[in-house]
Amino acid sequence: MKRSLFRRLGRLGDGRWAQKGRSGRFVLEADHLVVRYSGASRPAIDEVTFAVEPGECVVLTGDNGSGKSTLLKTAAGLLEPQGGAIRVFGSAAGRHPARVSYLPQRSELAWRFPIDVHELVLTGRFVHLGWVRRPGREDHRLVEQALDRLGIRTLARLQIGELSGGQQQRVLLARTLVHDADLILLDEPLNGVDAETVEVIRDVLDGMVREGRSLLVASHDHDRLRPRSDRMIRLRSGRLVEDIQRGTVPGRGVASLAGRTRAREFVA
Amino acid sequence: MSWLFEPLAYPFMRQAALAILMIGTTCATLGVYVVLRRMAFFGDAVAHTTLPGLVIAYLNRWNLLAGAVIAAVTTALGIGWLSRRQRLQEDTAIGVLFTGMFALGIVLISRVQSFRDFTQMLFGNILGVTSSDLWAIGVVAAVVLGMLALFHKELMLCSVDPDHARTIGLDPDKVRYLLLVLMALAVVTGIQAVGVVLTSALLVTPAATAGLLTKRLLPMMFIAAAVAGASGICGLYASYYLSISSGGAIVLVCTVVFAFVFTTVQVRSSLERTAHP
Repeated sequence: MKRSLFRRLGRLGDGRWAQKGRSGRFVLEADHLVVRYSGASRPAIDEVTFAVEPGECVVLTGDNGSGKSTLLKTAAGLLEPQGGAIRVFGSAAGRHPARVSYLPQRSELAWRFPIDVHELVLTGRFVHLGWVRRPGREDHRLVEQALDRLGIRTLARLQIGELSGGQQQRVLLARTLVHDADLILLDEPLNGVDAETVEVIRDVLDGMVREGRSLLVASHDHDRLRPRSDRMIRLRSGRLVEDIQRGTVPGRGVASLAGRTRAREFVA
Repeated sequence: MSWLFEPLAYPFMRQAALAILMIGTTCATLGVYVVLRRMAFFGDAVAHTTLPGLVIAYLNRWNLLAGAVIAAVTTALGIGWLSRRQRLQEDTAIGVLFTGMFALGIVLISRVQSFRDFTQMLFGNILGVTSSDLWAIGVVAAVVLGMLALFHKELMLCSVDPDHARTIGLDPDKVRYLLLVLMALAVVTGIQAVGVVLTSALLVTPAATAGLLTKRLLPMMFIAAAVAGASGICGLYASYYLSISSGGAIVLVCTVVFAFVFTTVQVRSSLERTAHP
């Protein structure tokens, strides 16, 4: 009784928490998208148009400052577009938080905060809880499962600041796993991590693709992800300059099942 | 042992002990967030800006506590509003509002002529708490600690990764305002104990001490509360036996505890370094 009341309170507080929306044909659509930081002379994202289909794994590449992070943040609902439109699952960005997981660059967290690895990964479940309600046994079980999958079970009780860069990146990916989203936005997941972590992260990303989830991965070093991706989009100074479909793929515009099958071919 | 119980024979000492226990634990628990989120300057500012509220309430014979709460919450929200979306750096917003409000307090006091009544606002008077003050302190303590428990998950997430909070539809600004209002409430009770000038010590010093001893959020809160409560009682006894200012004594004990822990931790880590170079 108490629980369901809190759940309802959570919904009242913010109807977006844990809401499953009607999905459109595309997971993500950018249509002449323009994003400008206040005070900047030129837009960080300039008239970018592309769409991601269900089950697709897209690598977003380009030099530093080309707009990769900005695009991901806009898709995650952290930045407002100033022109054009961005739609995620058919709605404005940020409207389906349970279905979209954003994995920021490592530097954007307060790693000195005194919580342990388990607790940080558990925050990935919060989207399904809403205000006030506490994580339950099932949430803790999912966290342990994710820690296992990333090979960091033994680190569960370490304070998050005691981890190496590679370990921190695994922790962030574990959090994304427990979020259980349909669209996953990753910002430089392989940046500054050790070789073993690269393998673990690639495996987990492969797994996500196999499960039919859609991935949009920003990486300045796209070669390290290339074998996993269906498609590569290159940005330069905020503009989309390349959009390469890899290999011979069935025509675009297939439903999620076909997307999944296609993804499997590249992973295999 | 008679030295331990003798002071408690006086009702004013019993009330003061109860008050400082409640005030200390409340301020110190909340202080953990103040320290971790680097809001120490903010805490100091809110304490100082209660002065005009206290003076206006005093002049109009209103409830002093209410005057302080209104001034503190107004300042807290004012700072939050001025620094929203980084329009103004937060420390700049604090610097402007804090000094302005404190100056207003001083001007108001100077109009009254008699400075004597205001020394206890500036430096606290824990020995003068009445039973109705105790009730007010108890309510504030319950509200602050209750909110910290209720919104533990939200406060934690917004402190460690505000962007993630925002992407899942939890607005970190709302959580920040909640924290600012709780700080305003805690600070007002702290003023009763150690005064406007020293209140931020109750927020910062015990939490900073706890931060040296643990890397866990909840233990840090418990240690901070314990340090503040124990320092409060020790300071109270010191002021009783040495006839010194209670507010000053309480804060000084907190500082000594911090210095002791800091030195111990330093010595131990340098010993470890020489043992395992």
